[in-house]
Amino acid sequence: MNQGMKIVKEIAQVADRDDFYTRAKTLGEIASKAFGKRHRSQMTSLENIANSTLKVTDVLDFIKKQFAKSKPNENWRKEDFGIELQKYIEQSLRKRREEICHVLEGVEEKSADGQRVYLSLIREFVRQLVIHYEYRTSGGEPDGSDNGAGPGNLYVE
Amino acid sequence: MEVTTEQVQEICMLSDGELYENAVDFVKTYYSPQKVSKTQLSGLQNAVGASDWNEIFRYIDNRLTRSTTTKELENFYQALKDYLNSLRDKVQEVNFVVKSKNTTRAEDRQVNKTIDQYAYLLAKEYIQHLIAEYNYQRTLKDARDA
Repeated sequence: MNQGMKIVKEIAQVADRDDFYTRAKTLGEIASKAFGKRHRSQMTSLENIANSTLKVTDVLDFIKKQFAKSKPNENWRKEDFGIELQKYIEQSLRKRREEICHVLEGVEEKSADGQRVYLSLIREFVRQLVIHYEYRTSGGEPDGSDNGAGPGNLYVE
Repeated sequence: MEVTTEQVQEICMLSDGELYENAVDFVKTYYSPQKVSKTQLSGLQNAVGASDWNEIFRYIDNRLTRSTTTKELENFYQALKDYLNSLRDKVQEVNFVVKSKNTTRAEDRQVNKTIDQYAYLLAKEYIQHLIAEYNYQRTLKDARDA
């Protein structure tokens, strides 16, 4: 297996962990309260930046900038959404990167591959967060159950 | 000046590494929200937007020589100027430009111009981090004080 495939595999394993999912869900729910449907562009902008940038700091700068623009208890300042997201990326995901780099022998954290791992983790986390946000804003229940109106009905087996 | 894929990668690494860390540290050291206003930072952002290394220094020098500039602002701009100047060394350290000996004045001028162009790319990254961090800390402080 080449290095690229190994990275993809490790990212998928981390993204499947409960803590990763739970944090994305919690922040997605806060985002739905903070932005509702009206400010959906904030979430799409975050996702676009995460997916298109070559730098982790573009995502962090975007979060800080949007946080600074927000009014108290609104948008990125609602329930400290911006602070929590920034901390999660700078602390928890950074640790995950260390772990993955350790597993992938020969990958330095501060190398191009290390940066790729970090960016992939951020992209995956933001992707999950936005999915939870979309689910909640379209009527899904915070505990994961469905009230009959949400998109959960689409996935009945 | 043509920037290679390898150089873009190196700039990204520097931006995510020491430029980001140094910008955050700079804000910690020179944080003075009353003195360094949002307008001051917007002016700096505009100077960087001019895509010219010298324009950044013209802006900073202009701030430094203003009679209304307070001690805090002077310290802020002087430290910023010193740091940005150090980026010219960084350009050579990472081998974007290699200065050779026994060159003519015209060649020297050309090399220095190329160093400035690369240094500008690094400065742009650094200032973007600095402004984002400064306004972020300002909002955090406002929230704490409210």
